[in-house]
Formats: sequence, structure tokens, C-alpha cells
Amino acid sequence: MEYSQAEILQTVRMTEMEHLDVRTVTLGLSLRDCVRDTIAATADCVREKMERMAARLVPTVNEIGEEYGLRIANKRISITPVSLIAGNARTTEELLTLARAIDEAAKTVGVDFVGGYSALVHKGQTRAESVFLDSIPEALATTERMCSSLNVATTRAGINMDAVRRTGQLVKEMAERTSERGGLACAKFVCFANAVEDNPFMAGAFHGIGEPEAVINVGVSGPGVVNRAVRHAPAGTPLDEMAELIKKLSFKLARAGELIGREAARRLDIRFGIIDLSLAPTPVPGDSVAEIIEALGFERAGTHGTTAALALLTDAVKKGGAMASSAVGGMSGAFIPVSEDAAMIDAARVGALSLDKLEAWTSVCSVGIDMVAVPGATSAETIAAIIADEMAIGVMNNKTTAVRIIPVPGRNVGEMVEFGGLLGSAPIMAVNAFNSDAFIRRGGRIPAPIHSLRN
Amino acid sequence: MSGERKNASTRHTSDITRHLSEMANEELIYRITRAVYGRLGAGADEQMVEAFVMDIYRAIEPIIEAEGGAAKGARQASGGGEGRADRLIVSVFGVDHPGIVAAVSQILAEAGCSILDINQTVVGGKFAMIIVADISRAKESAAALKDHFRQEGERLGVRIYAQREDLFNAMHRI
Repeated sequence: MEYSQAEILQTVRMTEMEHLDVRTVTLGLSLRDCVRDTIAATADCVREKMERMAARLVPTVNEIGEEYGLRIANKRISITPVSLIAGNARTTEELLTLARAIDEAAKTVGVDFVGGYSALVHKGQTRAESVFLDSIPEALATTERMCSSLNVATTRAGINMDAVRRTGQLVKEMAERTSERGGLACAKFVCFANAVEDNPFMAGAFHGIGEPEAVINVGVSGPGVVNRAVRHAPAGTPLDEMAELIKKLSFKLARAGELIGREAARRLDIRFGIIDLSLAPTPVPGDSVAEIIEALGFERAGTHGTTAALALLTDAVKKGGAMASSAVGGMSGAFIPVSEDAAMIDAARVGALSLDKLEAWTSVCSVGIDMVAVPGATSAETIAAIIADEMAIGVMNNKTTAVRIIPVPGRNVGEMVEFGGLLGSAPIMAVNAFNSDAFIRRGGRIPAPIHSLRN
Repeated sequence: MSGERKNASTRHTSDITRHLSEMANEELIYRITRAVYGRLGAGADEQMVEAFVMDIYRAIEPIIEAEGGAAKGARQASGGGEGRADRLIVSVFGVDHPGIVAAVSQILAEAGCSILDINQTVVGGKFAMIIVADISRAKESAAALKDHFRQEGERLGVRIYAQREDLFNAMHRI
């Protein structure tokens, strides 16, 4: 037989018992040809193009999943940042028409999320972009499947602190508009430094301006697979050997993901883009990044030494992926969304994991403060300050960082909030009690670091 | 008497060769058919012989194609083939009892899939079987086939997984 029984068993075990899945097949779609004289006409064109281009996405991807016996959890669409096709918008009402058209198209084609209600404002914003930013809270509160993101900093441009300040206010507004659902709109919004143009994961996916007409990007995940391997390694195995073990597994995960992506691209007759190999947890026990960290030798995720452990983990994942495929892109690291990771929730509840430690973790993974619930009374300035810290880590270290934070209306530290489904539930975590208001109100820009001058 | 038998087997051989030769390599099918008659005797059931010949030919067909298409060249490099989209790896695990192999083979046969390779073991009462099946002439979709496996697996009390071969190739071969 061409494959040994052990090889076949390993694949079956990974796909059937350890939750190896393709987390998302995301169709990246350019909407730049949809710009019309009025936003209403643009909305019609966007709806028509999304419905036409994504008509076969869900059934085709499901069919592929059946054939390979590999779960493909989500089918999604990322679109050109909407602010770029709505340059003639004068009112938020106009933009809401566009938002609803996007959401309806997503429902029609059956994708679970569409990302790209976004703007790139890292160096400043146009008049239309200001209107666009104003529209985000209501757009997210009144749509179901649409996600939004803002890029407020890059290593080349520095940090747009006016945008950071505004983002703090927007996050508060999103929470208030969806207070009866625990501030759910905030779970569909992410704020970036150095956002990537080909990220297939939500809520931060958008189809960058350097991208082709349409592209298939794939996000592979497999914390369950890595978790099992780490737990079954002999006790006391040195860390370099653990890194090797994780690297080899990541290689296999990346190869499986690329196969699925290329097959989907072939059948849909759309160009294959990238595979994003990020360990992304789900609320299912065992399918957890925090459990991997704990299995490396900690009582709880979040204690001293866990930043080092996460560094080892993300680096090994990247190396395995890079060896497996020439098309690795997106974020490719590890996601640590608190509400989506059962062991992370436990660690936060017992006090092992704090907001400060999550911030430290950002320096070695991709999205640091992700799906973190904080008290509803947290001020817009404090949220902006949390964002500013994360953006600084990204800008100074030449990497993508992001914040997805939910100030849950009416809730306090120690309580839980339930978002349901893949978004899970989160414990309300404490923020620093001392204010940063005067710093945030200064506004302006934090200049780009010296190492941005690379030419 | 023996002359008659020989003539009969030669006649049958050429009938079968003609019948199957639309598929491909006539000479090879002729040789396989002769070999099968050689083992079973000229009185062997013609349909049975045809089924044997077809199974054997399909088992070796990919190897012939790969060798013939030297330009493709990937087989040798990988040391294990490219993995094929028209092959399914069916793995069956559970507690051993009579009838599992028969039931799984039956589903494949009814769907028009031939078995290219099969490996079955029982250790300590635990049954494990791996089948490589050719689905290029399958009458059913992968989804329908998997539905049958699911239902049959429940009836038999075993777990049956079916996955395309190229997944294993991607994960275990460079």
C-alpha cells in the first residue's frame, strides 16, 4: 500500500478527532468597478457582483469538504474596503444603504461573514472617510454578517492618534447600540496596525487594493492537532524538540490547506491567493491555543513564561507553513481570542490571564487583544489607550497587531457575557483603573519609527 | 479434449480482450486474460474472468500511465506518487465481527468503484481496514457514497471514513 497504516491513521485522527479543519475559504472580491454616480447605484452594483461571483462558493466548497473528509468550517467573502468605493458619500444614511446591500448579498449566497466595511486611515482621512467612520456603529448594529475594520497605524506612517481616539468612541457606540446583545457589534469590528491585504480571517478580512479581481484565500487551523501532539510528547522533552514537533505538524496542516484552496480555486475558476496558517481556537474543548501553552509546562495560560512559550509556538507554526507552501500569507501566527478559547476563559476567570499579559503576547503573535470583554463603564479614552498600546507594538516591531474589544454595557469584572456560536462567551476582564484621558485627547500623530526609513 | 479446451479459452480470451480493449492497452489485457485462464482453467466462468481481468488491469493502469508519461515525472521524485483525485481511501475501524469487509466492498461495487488495494487486520478484537478505491467510474457522488458508508457504519457498529487520496499525499509525501 502506498501509505502506511500509521500515516492513514494520523490523517483520520486529525480530521475526525482533533478538529483539524479548514477554518475558512474566503473569496476576495474587488468592488472597485462598482463605483457609480450615486451610492444607491453603487449598492446595486455591489449586490449584483457579490451574488454573481460568489454564487457557487458555498456549494462548491461544501462538496470539496465532503470529498476530502475535511471540515471546511466557514465560507466567507472579503471585499474592497468600502470607504474606497464610497468616496461620494455625503451622509451616513447613504452608507447604510450600501452596508445593507452587502449584508443581503452575503445572506443570499449563504456565506457566514463578509469582511471589508473598512477604511485605511493610518495617515489621515478624507471627508468621505469621516462620514464612513461615523456610519460604522449603526452599520454593524443593523446588519448580521458584515464585519468592519480600520487600519489606524503602519510602520511607514506611524500611528494616527486622531483615528485611534475616534475608534475608542466608535467602539463605545457599537456596544451601546447592541447593549441588549452584550455589545455584539464590537465582536464584528477590529482595529489594525499594519493590516494585511489578503487576510482570510474575520473580523479583519478585506480585499486589499493590490489584490486581483477575485482570489481564493484559505485559513487553516489546527490547535487541537498541535495540542494532542504536545501532550503526548514524553515528559521533559527539551523545547527545541517541541518546536521541531510543532513545525512538522504545521507542515502537514499547511499542505492539507493548500490542497483544499487550490482545488476550490480550480473549480470556481478563480485565482488561488494565499494560505493563512494561524492556530485559531474554537470553544470546543481541546481545540485551544491556551491548552497548547499549558501543555508546554504551565499551570495556567497567562502566567510568567507564557510569552516565551507563545513565541516558540508561533515561530514553529510559521516555519512549518513556510516550508510547506510558497503561498503562505495573511496573518500566519496564532490567534488568542479570549471568548473563543475555553482554556483562555478559565485562565482569565482564575486571574492567571490579564489584559496586560495579552498585550505582552501581542509582541509574539498576530492579534493580541482579541474578543476581550471589559466593563461597560470603561471610557472611550481608555479603550483608545488600549488600542494605542497595541498599535505601538505593531508599528515598532514591523508586524500586524489588532484589537477587538467589547465594553459590555452594564457588566462588571467577574461576570460573563455570552455571544453564542463561534464567538463563544467571555469573562469581563479588568482594565487599569487609572485614566489616560489627557494623552488620548492630545490627538495628532505618533511619528513613524526610525526603522521606517529603509530606502 | 484438451485441444477443445484450449480453443475455448483462446476464443474467450479474444472475446474479453475485444470487450475490454476499448479501455486501453489491448495487448496487456490479452496477456492478463491468458494468465487468468491459465490459473483457473478454460472452463472458468467467463464473466468471473472478465471481472478479474478488469480489476487487475485497473490496479496496474495508473503505474503504466505514470511510466508511459515520463514527462510527468513526479512519481519518482516523490517516491510515492502524486496522490490522485480519482481515488478514495476508505478506512474502517471498530470491533471485529463477520461481514464488515463484505458490506464495505458491496457499497463500493454498487457504486461502480473498483478496489485497487486493501489491507485488513484484527488486533485484540479491534478491526482495522484500509481500502484504496478507484472512483473514476463511480456512479455516485462522493457525498452520496459517504452517506452510504455512514449508514452502513452505524448498522455494523464501525466507523467508516472516506477521503480523497491526494489529501494523504499532500500531508505525508513531499
